[in-house]
Amino acid sequence: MTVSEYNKCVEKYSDNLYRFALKSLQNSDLARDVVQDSLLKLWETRDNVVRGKEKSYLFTIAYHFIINNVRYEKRYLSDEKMPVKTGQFKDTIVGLNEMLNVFLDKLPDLQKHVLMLRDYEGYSYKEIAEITSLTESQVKVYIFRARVALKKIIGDINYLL
Amino acid sequence: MKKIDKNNYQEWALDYIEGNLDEKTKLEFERFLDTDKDAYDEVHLLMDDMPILPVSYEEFPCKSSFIRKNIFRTVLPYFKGAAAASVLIVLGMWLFSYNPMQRETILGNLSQETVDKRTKSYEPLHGINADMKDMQPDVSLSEKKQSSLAVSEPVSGLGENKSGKIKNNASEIVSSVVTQSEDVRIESKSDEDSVIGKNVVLGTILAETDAELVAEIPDIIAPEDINIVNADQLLSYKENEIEDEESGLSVGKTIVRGVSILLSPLPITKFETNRERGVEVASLIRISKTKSK
Repeated sequence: MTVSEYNKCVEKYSDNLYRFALKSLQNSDLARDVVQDSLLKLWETRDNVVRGKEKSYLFTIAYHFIINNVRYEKRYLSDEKMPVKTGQFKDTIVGLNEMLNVFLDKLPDLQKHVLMLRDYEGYSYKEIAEITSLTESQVKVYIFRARVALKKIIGDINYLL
Repeated sequence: MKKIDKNNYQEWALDYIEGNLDEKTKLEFERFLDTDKDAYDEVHLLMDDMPILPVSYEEFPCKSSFIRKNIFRTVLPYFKGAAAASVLIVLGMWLFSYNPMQRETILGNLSQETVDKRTKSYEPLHGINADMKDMQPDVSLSEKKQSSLAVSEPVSGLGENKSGKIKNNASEIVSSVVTQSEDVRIESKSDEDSVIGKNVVLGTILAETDAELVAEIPDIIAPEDINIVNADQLLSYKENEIEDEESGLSVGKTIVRGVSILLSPLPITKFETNRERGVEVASLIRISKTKSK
């Protein structure tokens, strides 16, 4: 990978990486660190990157950094994310899209990650499996469950409203 | 295919919803859904309206700091000037590295006395400096061969001139400066052989005619003592040889011409050092067309 190719990857994928990390970790500083570490890792291992696979390579690296962060938070840190209170969305949610983003965070991490890779980045089930080190069947199961959960939440909200 | 049941139906659920199952599997899956109401409700919940995450527009705030500079695009423009200046300096040093005496020789303004002195100053092949040593053939001639060498003066200490004492005609002399470190020039003032070149000439054979030259060379040179290349190789090499800047004449024309009439191979070694390059006419040959007896 040349310097130009690396710079192209930064231009094209750093926003996507940041979005993925931010929604996963709900912390902009941590998300920035993940992206920084991922880009640095890409540069250090650029000779090993297969041409055309730069994006999935970056996301694989970022995913592992995110998982490490999540595990670290669960083990050692109190939840620094703002908890979503039961009555909150009645007061603050202005649209379905925003509601979806809020409830995305309520999903289990694995479901959330694979769903974001599918909907935000458009990866196939097979590619998601490669990034997350899961089987294709596992990816499909998690995405199915995530969609069902989101749909149920939306259904409940519509009912309440 | 494994049996679809309530523990594994979710593996096929998304493919069923998205229409990616083959007919056989689809029928199997629908048969299962008919037996499990909860599974049926879940699947049809998504078939009515599948929630897709909305597009998000967050931007990475530190992007520009990760762009790496292409050293060739940023440094090269500055380097170009320095490189060009360096080349000019080196070229100038090389051009002005000639000994003034050599320039005189090149121009053919030397007197016979000077030529004689020069030829006496010749040092034998084995005395050549380290730079050139690797390029040199082993030309240690036997005593017998040395004594038969046709040289006007014992320039290389190789022996007496078998034809007697030969004086060089200043007007037609092929003059050369043969030392270890100087550029060697061959110049002939005859109309046919106006050649200025760079060669390391290590000896002299003088012959009045080409025929005599041909006759003398095989007797003088011991093939086993010298690296020999085929005359054709020499010709092809010579055609690409450098040209003298002043005269525009190609190097070694005389030699080429000499080779063209030779019936036997001419011993030649190409050499190149930090200071010069050319063709070493191994051991003995300085070609001239003049001999006075």
